[in-house]
Amino acid sequence: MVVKVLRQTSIARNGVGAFVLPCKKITLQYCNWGGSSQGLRDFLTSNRMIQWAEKYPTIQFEIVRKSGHPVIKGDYVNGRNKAICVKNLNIDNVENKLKLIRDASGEQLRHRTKNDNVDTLNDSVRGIWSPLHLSPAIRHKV
Amino acid sequence: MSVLKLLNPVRVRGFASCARLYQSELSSLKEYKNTISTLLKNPAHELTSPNLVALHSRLRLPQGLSYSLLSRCLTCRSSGEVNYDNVSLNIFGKSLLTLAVTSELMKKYPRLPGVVLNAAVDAYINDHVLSNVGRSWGIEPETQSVVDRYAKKENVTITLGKLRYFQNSVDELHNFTENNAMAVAVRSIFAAVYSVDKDFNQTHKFIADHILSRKLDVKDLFAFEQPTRELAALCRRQGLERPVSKLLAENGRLSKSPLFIVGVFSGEEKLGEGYGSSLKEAKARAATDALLKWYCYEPVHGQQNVVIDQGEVLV
Amino acid sequence: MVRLFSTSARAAKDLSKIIDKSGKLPKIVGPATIYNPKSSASNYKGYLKAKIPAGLYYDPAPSSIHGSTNSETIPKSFLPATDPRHDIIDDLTQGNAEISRVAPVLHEKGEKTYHLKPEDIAEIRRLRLEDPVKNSRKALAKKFNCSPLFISIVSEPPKERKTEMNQVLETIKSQWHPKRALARAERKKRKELWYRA
Repeated sequence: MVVKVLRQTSIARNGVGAFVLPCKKITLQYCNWGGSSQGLRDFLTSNRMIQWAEKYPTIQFEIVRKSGHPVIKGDYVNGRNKAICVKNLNIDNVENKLKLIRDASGEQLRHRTKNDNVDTLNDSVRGIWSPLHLSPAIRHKV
Repeated sequence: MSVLKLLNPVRVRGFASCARLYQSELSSLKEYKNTISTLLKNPAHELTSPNLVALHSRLRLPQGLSYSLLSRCLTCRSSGEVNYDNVSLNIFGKSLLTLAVTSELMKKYPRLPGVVLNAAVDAYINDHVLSNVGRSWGIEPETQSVVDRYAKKENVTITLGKLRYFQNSVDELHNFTENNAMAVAVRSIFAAVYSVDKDFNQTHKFIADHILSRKLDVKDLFAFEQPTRELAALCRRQGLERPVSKLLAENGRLSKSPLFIVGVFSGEEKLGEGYGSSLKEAKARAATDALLKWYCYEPVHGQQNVVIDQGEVLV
Repeated sequence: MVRLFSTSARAAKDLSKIIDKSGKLPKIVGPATIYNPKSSASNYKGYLKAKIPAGLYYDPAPSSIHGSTNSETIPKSFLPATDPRHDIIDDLTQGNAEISRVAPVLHEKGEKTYHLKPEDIAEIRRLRLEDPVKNSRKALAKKFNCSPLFISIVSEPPKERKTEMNQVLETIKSQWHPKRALARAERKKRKELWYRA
């Protein structure tokens, strides 16, 4: 056999073709008694919760009653989760945290260093600059 | 009154008075288990499993595809569900995927050699890839036994939206891993989409969106053995002049790290170019480059009479 | 204002050095700077770009074509007759013809002579099987005026000779210092990478 084969695996590109929201489930945990849950309780009893559920049918919402501070937890398709404590937050701030959970990809947050801006699977279109391939007309002459 | 005690027969025999209580618990456990099968097998019954509904809308599945069918896709034979599993759907789904991926690859790269084409198809639809697709769709495997779920008083419908592939006793003999089960479920979903599709278009779009949109560089699949000889054979077959390697540029020939740029020419036309720290390396890379340019040829969009090549070059 | 005027005037003048309009496609040949075409390093005004009018120019990438399979780098003779790119590729690869005339050939190969007859081949095979020690590849190549590679293609030594030589090679390899063994193994791995994209 002249051509041998190296096994490769194709790499997922979410959003090329279909887009699947990485957030698959949001759990809203509140306490029926504690004052710190007041904002979340307001959110749950207001119309906003219903609006959210109607707007995002791709997310499974679970509402849990449990004593302690209120927590919003997101489960993501990469198997990770993200939990945010919403104690003593008012209804608007609770909704902002919910938006944050919805928009997160589930990846661990990390600091990008300067000039680490490009993250791509594709080859460079014009290739890597090479002094030996520069047009002789503009090549640096010693 | 933990149900888990049920699993310990010694305890049951030891306390005769409790046994009757356990008996009633056992019957309600059986009822719990039967409810799952009844819900699953009755398409008329409208399932309202929250994760099933979410999965359905996450994949933008066609409206005609019932939750019951989707749940069937997630039910493997190894889960012990009788007469309602995804075995046949899986077989059909596999053929659908192979058809769509192979035809698309052959349209895009008409000159891929047979082994490479096989490997390219495999890179899109092998078990490992499909199980990752399943995870990216948010399919969760059911990891709790029926007894555990009953003890936690979990809603019966929750499990119908999960990948059910294992019984209480995990049979290692079948060697059916979570990855295998996930791949089977994903293939079944493709088959299920086809089952409610009027023509192949909708299914093809679904496959294109979720599978063909993945990134694969076919160049990475190739490993040549004798590229220079193969290139010479190719040129002979195509009626081109014999390939000749020529030195295009060099740097630091007598130094510790020399660099040579070699081009392989057929007549006055440059077929490929290679670099290397020795002339041999640069020549081999140039021939490899030329062969890749031949095999990875892509016709432009809308081109007529796309070639299906005579195949690979045999030296 | 005056400076601005002179700058634009100069830019207009210098464009002829930057854009080559002789071909079918206008081609960018020089750096698009207006002050110092050789080097902008010593220019206290910095690097000022010339005002190139909007349009389509050919500006070849200053990089190796190795490993790329796009429309710009594919050889014309690899395209099937129906491919519409036939017409444009000549413009993109203008310089190659001259380079191929000037560049030195790595290994000068003479015309193939095809001087050996089937009887000669049979003779080579017979000799090699008869006495592989005396009639080595090198000796036969000299005798029949061909290359040792050709001898290895058309004939094979006896099996015993092969196993014997393999054993000798194994013995030599087993006596290598671990450092040398490692270096050889790495060299082999590096060489495998030559034949990949």
